[in-house]
Amino acid sequence: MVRSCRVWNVRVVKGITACIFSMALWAQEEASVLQTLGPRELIAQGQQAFQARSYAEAAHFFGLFLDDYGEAEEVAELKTLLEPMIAVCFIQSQRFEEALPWVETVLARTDLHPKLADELGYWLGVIHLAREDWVQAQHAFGRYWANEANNEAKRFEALLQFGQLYLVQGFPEDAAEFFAAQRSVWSTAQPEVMGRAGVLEIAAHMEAENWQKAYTVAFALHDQAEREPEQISQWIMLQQQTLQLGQHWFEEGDWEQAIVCLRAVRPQEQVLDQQRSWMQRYEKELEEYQGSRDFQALMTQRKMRLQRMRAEVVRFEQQPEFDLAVRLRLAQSYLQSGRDMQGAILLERAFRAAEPGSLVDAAVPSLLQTWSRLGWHDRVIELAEVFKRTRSVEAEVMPLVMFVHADTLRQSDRLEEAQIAYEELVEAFPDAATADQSMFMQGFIYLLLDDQEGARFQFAQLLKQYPETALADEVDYWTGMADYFAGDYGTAREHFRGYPERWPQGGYGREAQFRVATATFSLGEYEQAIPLLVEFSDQGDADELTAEALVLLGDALIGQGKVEEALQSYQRVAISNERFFEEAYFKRVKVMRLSDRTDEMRALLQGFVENFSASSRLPEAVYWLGWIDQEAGDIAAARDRYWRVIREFANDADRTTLVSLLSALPKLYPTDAERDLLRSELQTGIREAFDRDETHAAIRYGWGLAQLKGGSKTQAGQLELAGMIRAVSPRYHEPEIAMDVIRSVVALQNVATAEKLVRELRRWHPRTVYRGELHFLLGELERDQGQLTEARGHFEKSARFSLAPVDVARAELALAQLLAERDPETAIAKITTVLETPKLSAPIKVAGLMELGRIHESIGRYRQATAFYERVYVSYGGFLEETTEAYWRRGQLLEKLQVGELALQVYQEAIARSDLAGLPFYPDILKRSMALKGGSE
Amino acid sequence: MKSVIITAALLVVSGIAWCEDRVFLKSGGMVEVRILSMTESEMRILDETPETPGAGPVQGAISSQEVAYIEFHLSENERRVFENLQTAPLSVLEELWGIRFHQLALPRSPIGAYGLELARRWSASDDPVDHQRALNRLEVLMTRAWDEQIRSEAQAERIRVLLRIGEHQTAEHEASQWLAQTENPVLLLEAKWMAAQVDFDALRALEQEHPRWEQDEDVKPERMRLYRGLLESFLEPSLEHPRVRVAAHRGLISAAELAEFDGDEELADSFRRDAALWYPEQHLQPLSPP
Repeated sequence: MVRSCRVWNVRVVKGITACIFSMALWAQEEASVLQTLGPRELIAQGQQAFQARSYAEAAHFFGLFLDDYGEAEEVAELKTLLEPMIAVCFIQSQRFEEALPWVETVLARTDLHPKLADELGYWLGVIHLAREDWVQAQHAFGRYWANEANNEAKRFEALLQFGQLYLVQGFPEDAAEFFAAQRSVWSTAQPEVMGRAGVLEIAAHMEAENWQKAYTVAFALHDQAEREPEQISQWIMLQQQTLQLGQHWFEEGDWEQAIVCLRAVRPQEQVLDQQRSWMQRYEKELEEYQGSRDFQALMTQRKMRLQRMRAEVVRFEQQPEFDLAVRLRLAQSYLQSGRDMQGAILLERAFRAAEPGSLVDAAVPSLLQTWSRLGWHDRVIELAEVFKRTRSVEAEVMPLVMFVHADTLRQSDRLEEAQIAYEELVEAFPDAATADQSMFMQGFIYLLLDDQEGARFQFAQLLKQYPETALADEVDYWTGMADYFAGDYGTAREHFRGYPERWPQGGYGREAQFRVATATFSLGEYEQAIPLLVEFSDQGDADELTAEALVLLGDALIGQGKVEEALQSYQRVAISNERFFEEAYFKRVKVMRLSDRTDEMRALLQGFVENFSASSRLPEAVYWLGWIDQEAGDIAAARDRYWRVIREFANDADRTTLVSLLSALPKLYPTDAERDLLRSELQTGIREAFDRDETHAAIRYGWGLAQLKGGSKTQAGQLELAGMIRAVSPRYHEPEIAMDVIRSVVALQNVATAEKLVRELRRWHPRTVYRGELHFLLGELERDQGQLTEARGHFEKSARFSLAPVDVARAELALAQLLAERDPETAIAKITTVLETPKLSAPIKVAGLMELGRIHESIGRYRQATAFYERVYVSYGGFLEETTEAYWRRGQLLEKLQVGELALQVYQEAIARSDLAGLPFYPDILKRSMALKGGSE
Repeated sequence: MKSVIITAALLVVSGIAWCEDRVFLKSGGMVEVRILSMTESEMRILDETPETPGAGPVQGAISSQEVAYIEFHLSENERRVFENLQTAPLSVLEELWGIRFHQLALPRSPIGAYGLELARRWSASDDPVDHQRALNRLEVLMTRAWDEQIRSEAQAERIRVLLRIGEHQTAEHEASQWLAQTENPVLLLEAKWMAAQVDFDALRALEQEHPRWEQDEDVKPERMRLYRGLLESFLEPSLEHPRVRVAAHRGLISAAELAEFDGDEELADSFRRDAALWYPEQHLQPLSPP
């Protein structure tokens, strides 16, 4: 750009000379003096021509006069007048070579009118510029500046030209030094001149590759632009220089510097507004100075500057994506500097605002990958879908966007959607670089969805469609795994046996070896499996495959009766593989138990309790230690062992397995007397815990005590647990304890009291196994408070999160009951489905049948309703309240159906059941029965 | 009239004499009078130095259409108050508010600044009565002050007060309205920042209510929506309006605070570094209170 600046300067000079501002007005004043002097004809002709603006002709006549009569003494004075006129004529005619000697001659005079000297002195510089005599031009402008009597505005212009000529001559360092040195001078000039000097200085620094200095000057100008925008006339130039600086730092890898520069570039519209505003100022100035004889050279320059501005504006307007290009570069700078968040936000905004097919489309994969890196997967999916929806399928980056979309769906566990997305990609872009990978992922997803057949088919298709795929190794391995997962161990084994030969450099050699060994084990071929497992596990790796192999090896050795070798194998499992380590540990315990090696078993278990008390299998270890004592007939020792562990960890919030130990205690106290002893010990535990201010321990002992009384299943247990409601806090205490307290309070008919605990348990354990039950309770609470929408939401979640079908049925029934008024048919269908749930509990069945009866009744289907009510009292007569209500409702409906006799029978049947007396609806049945009887009599 | 004289006397007692203002007329003339009231049609004045020697103060009226502009003349003491608002006694500010209240809608009147300072003092108090006073005063300033800057500051302060007293819904509503109405980029950024403060409060409340939100499928999406929206809001000034330096710096600091709240210390440090790197002059200033 700086190069074009230099060319621009030369063009400017030539342009100036192409449009010289007329000095006619000033010259005419002198011409009138000539009319009295002769040879008249020459002078008159010349004057005539001058006034007619035929400057060449005028110069000719005046020239002839001086040639013929110039030496005469009497024309000496006339000559002094004619010489400037001739200079003007040549200037006006743009004959600068011819004008030059005349201008120099005139300027050499000592009696020159100051204004003439001023104007011609400036013209001298302009003429030399036109002649491309840079050195002389510089001298001329330098002399002009040096003369403090000259017009101040023109002096500063001359100084600017002086500096600029360094650039034109290819001395950017000198230009830069010059402009920097003159800064204090510019500060006394018009601010606009300062601004232009600044732009030139930046250009000089950039040409000399003093980027830091260019940057310093540029930002000083930006600060000035911020404070007084009207003082910067070269807005477009400044933005383009700033952009270039940003580009330079970007290419140098100095991202932060690039960011600073690119952020400073203003929006295109704002820049154009400011530039146009300056153009208007120049236009106004030109109008004002049109007739002025003192500023013609300056105005000529102004005109040229204005033309240049117009051209810059046109060129700038022809960059409709200027703003977008700057933003993209800025976003890239942020990303390169590790500022992923900022880069992604900028890119996304640019994408959302841009038209399809714009520059930003190419950056969309980068945007998606950034959001993916930040874990904002839902944003990736959303943006990819926007791209797919709004961009042409022919967009260059479409295959990559589609792949990222599909892959992100897979990572978000939206497997079915991912399948579809991968398939769409392969269909649309079978030749894309990611096509084979997409097919592979489809196969892999089939495996995740437990569709081994689908996986095998997909992998086979992949190899068929892309025989040269780089994923052939992966396809081979996972095809074998499809057989393995399907339990086809024989096929899988043969497949993996051939793997090393097919893929000598393959990436799954070790895994293949492992699968051969484990497939052999799974086929029950322990003798063959043992050497394979030994060979694999002897490779020295301490990873999970080795751990698993050692456990299986132990099992296989046990199967072959090789107990000691099995124990050794189990013992080799590295502690770092927690899952297999504990499994192997307890297999050793089992082996010792089965081989009556009690002392070793005890030592092993004690070691576990001492070293791994945080394990979830602690109760199991304690249980087996107690079993050893019990087998030895020493139940006291067994109890003592339990109590030692319980007391040690009773107040430790992290030892959540304590509840398992506490619930196992009653088995060590089988008789009533022993239960009393346990009760006493637990009560002592509670007391002592409170004394020591160990609330958690007290809660646990209290819960243990309640279990002794039957827990939440008996009234005694319920009362015990309900009494703990104020003390229990789900934030600190186990969900099991809180849930038992809740169940107890609910069983005692006080759901509202349990509400706070229910909400706290949900709050502190959102993923608890009890969340289905909790949502059901919350649904009931909301329903009772009239918040039907909230109730519906909770029942839906209860149905979703409950594990047992019975609990799901209960939630569905509750939903149906809410739906009954609004949509009875759907409610009926829902309840009918619920009633088909296998092993549905009687209470739910009764509730379902009653609800069906009520719904049919509410929509006038009396006959159908009577059938449901009948089923209730016939099949579930033990539910006394529901039975009474069912008798009453059926009777009423039969009366409405004009079957009074049958209605009376129903009432009498109910009355005959003395166990229904006193229940709601019973008095109504009595009354109605008597009424009907009286009527019939 | 009597109240004006009494109030003027009070001001003299408090050391702040009320001087006459200069009313410049469209005709080119100027009068020095005390402005008693001004409506769309009429300005009622008190001329304390009438032309007739020996005559007492004269009340009169000027047509509002004749007024070009007014130069409010502050006495030495009032000027001192005006230039040191934060240390001016509350009682003096209240008095000045009372006297100049009718000038609230007049250009260049200092009353807006007094009102704002009073509101700020009240909002900083612990007394709920003061908070209500602050809210009322700010509402008046928002709707009647001539100065756009005063109106905006009053709006921002009102939202701050509402947040402080727990009126989150009202704060959110007012912040959204303000956002929708303003076009001035600096004010727009201020409005957005206030709206973001409301959301940040909502985020804090959500996490307080759901301490294990990351495990709760129902709550997690809303939490993430709030968090991400806030991050984008806080970063917007430095990304889109980097030259609005106060807002840009504050946004980066708020983003750091948010990242820290989210437990991402690395990200928080990165935002703080950027704030110091790109806005070093702002980094040393105390932040405006939330």
